[in-house]
Amino acid sequence: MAVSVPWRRDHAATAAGSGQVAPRAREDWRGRLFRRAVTGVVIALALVWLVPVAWTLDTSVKSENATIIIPATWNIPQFTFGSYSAVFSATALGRWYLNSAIVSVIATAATVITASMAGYALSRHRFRGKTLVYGCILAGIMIPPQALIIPLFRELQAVGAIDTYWAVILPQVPTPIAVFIFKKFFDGVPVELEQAARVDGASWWASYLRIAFPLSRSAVAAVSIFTFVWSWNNFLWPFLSATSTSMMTIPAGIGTVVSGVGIMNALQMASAVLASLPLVLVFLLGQRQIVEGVAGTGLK
Amino acid sequence: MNQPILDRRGFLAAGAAAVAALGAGCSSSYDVAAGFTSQNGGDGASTIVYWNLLSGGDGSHMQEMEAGYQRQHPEVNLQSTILQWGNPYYTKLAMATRSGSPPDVAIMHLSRINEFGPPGLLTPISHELMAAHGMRPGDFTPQAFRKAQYRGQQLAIPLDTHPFVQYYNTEICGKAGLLDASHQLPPIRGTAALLDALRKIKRTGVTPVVCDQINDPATPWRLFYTFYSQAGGQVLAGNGKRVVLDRALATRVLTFISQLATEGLMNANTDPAGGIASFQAGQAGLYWEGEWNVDVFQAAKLPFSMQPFPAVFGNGVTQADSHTFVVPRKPSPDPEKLSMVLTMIRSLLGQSMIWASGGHIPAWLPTRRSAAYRKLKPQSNYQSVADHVVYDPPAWYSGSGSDMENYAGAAIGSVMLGGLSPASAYQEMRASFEQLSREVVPV
Amino acid sequence: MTGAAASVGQPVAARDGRRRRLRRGDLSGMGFLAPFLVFYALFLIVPLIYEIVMSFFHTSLVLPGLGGFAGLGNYREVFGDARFWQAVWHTIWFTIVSTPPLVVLPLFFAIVVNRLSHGQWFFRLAFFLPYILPSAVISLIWVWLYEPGYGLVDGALSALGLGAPAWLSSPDVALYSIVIVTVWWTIGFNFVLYLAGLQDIPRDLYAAAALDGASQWQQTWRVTLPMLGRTTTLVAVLQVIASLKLFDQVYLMTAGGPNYSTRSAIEYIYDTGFTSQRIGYASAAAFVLFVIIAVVSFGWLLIVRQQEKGV
Repeated sequence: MAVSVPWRRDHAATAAGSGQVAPRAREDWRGRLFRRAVTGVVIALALVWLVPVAWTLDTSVKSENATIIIPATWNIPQFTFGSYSAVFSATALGRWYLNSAIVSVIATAATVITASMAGYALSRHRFRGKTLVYGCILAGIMIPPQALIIPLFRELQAVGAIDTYWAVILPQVPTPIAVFIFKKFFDGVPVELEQAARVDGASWWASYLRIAFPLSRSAVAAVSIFTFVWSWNNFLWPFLSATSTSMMTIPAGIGTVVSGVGIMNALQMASAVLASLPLVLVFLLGQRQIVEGVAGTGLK
Repeated sequence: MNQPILDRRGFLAAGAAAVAALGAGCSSSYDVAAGFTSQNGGDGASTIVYWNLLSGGDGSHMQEMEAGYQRQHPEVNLQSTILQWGNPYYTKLAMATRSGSPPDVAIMHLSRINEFGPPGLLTPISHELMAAHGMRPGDFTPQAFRKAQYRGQQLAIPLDTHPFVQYYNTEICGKAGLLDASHQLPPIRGTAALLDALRKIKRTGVTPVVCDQINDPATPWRLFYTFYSQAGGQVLAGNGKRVVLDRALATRVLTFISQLATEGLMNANTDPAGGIASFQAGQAGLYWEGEWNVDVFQAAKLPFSMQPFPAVFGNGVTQADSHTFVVPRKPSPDPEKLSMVLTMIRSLLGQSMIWASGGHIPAWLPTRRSAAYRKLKPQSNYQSVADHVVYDPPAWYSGSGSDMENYAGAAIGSVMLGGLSPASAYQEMRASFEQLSREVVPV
Repeated sequence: MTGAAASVGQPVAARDGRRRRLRRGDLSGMGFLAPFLVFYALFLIVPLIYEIVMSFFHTSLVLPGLGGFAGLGNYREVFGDARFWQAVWHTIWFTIVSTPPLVVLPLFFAIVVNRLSHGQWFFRLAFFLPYILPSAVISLIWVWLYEPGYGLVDGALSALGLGAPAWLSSPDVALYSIVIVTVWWTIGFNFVLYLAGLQDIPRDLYAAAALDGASQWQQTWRVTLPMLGRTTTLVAVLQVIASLKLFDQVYLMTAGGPNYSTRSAIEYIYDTGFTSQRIGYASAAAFVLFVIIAVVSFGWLLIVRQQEKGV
């Protein structure tokens, strides 16, 4: 990948934390003014970027009647959390939370395990057909899953799996890019430790499990974060494969049911807030990790 | 930025969120294991899963009726879900049914029975079973009830008939000298009379008629199909296998629509919300739309009334559709659930007055014939229409919100703006219908 | 992609001419690969083959089996179907319109933000937060923002004395409204890619430029931008590939309307396959789209490899 992957930077010797600043050249007042003006523009735009989020929060705590005022106003005549409780009675949001958690956790675990094992094999083992297999997996990066919705649906329908967790989860598991990331990672890890273990009679499995996998913590983290975020937010496939409302994930439920509620703006915005809450909380707590995890892996 | 990218804090955060999400889910009573092992996990025997596509005023009336049912049957856990109207709803319903996990009962437009009936996606309901739950065939508007049958089997139970109607502003029409002694608009018959009335309204300085077409292909289609059917035209034959759209007749109708636009008699440059707003603000004398906006205007205390759509091209038929209840087919029939569902349908039908207040003509005759309904004005002004309406031509690709309506509506909508010639619009419609009819029958 | 290139040239046991008997490494290697390969085969390869097969039949979503043989009929219909090409064109036009702002704006943001000594978290929050929201939430929020009359966008414009277009209900405007949403939603991803790229530029380069008397502006122009060339290419190509898969926000905000003016290629496949239930035909359309996307992705591979060699 052309972009520097974060775990490679682990070994790089660059100093200092995130607030790195390039050495300043001599600056005249015009340069300073220009720089301040540009910074001001970016700050203003960053604030503009937050407006939709703020407006969502604002609408969600209004009464429905207060949302249909022309022109739109930020005033909240009557602060209420009524729409938040209404979401739970009008939709199966509680169940969707649970479904999303089940689907994302299992899909992430399965992706990490299978991709890490495959990446390990491709990095450490020598066996016949390896080049071919690796080539095939790399070619898979170019397969857009969105173009396969029809045969996938039919395949899972044929085995009666549609509208079960399996149908939602399994097609999300094969992620060729994750194999690529793990292989690259293991390629960069010295083999001596494992060789020593192998000489001591450890099996491939033991040296993978006890030495290689624990070492790959940063790759595991990056792939997990990315897969989890992607799976949690995935719309098209859960929308197709979870056909009853009680099996939907949050995005599928929001897209199918809440959009049909009609002109209940506060309720819709409350459901938008509730649907976003888990990931936003995780994001606020581990902002840098998530940003880097996604940046390093975001190729799906 | 060069520390391990997931530290302990990050792990804890992710874990906490996962636990929180799990906790939120577990507090509900659903059975998660069923989601892994079988389909339609978690619906208990006392649960009715009910899907509909009713939002806005219809949605709140339905909720009121559901509440009425729940008061009678608190033991039933009624899970009512509103999905997005039109193709998205019917696609979702068809997919859920085909994969064996449909809702127990759903609202369906009568015009969509042609898509769901032939492939056997609906559970036939025998008249005996209906009678056992207090519903006899004679209790329903005959045209809607018969239309809900396919090959002799009852596939749907109609709730209403909802025709295309004419709203009129009594103040404006009075100023234009169109009202009779009883302050009513006498029926308008024929193209000349309609043009005359519209011109009189125009002289009062407002838009004569507003009929939206932006973002709403169904309304142009309803307008065209009403006129075209009044002139005796047919669009499809052989259940959609052949297109018999008549060039001369269709062009005549489209030319008339185009004249309304070019003469400035009709404002079609608006979307549904804009159409409502314009009529509500007293900026239009007439408003052509389905009858379902009546309570919006009543709430706004607008001086208005409603009547059947004018018989402009001959007979007085009007395009309409019906909301019906259907029981999607399940892999294994469940007579007890079916009985529960029929009880619920009967309860909702019994509250048809609530439904009627939203403008729809109740299919339930005990209500439709009641004195209370006859007194409900202006909703009952047009109730006689229900006995001679035209539904969309039967085909696997037709019906409310279908591709056929969408394609035709786009062409007709351009004519309503005066942008497309009637001849080209006919060509466009014909080509779309031909293409749909040539597609290999998927059912 | 250097890894891929290197491994292709690696001598592998089977290739050095001597037929070896199956070694333990062969078995355990395949054993490690097997779990992934099973998923890979079941959910990528088999569907792909199945799709190609179905594209030659009149397969129906409703009926079991493949249905009647269509030969090249489906492909003839796809190539002659104005609605398919209209949908493909919407996707391409969306890509053409949305890619420049999504490449240039975050580059600008990243260069400015990277120079700040504190407060970077705020910009990461502002720009990246929308990216972690699901498309369904994005669509709910923006339909409400665009709401005629009541919406915040119309409100803000009228406060400025400006009229508002019919954001989602005019066929001439709707696709651009969706581009605006998409820029807001996904800019954060490119922003962090650029930030990562900026972190990798050796400090000595700036120091050297500063010694040469280059101003801040000149440093940006002569050092930062050239050094970000690779990242920019990556961002642009990823952007193009993502745009070609356009579906969620269009389906959720306009369902392809008004008058099909925003329907994307993926939505066309969804409509013909799941709404009209003609999955044989939809498979043919999907395969054509698949080839288009694969060709573009392959182009990406070539460009990236070219660059890796060049640098």
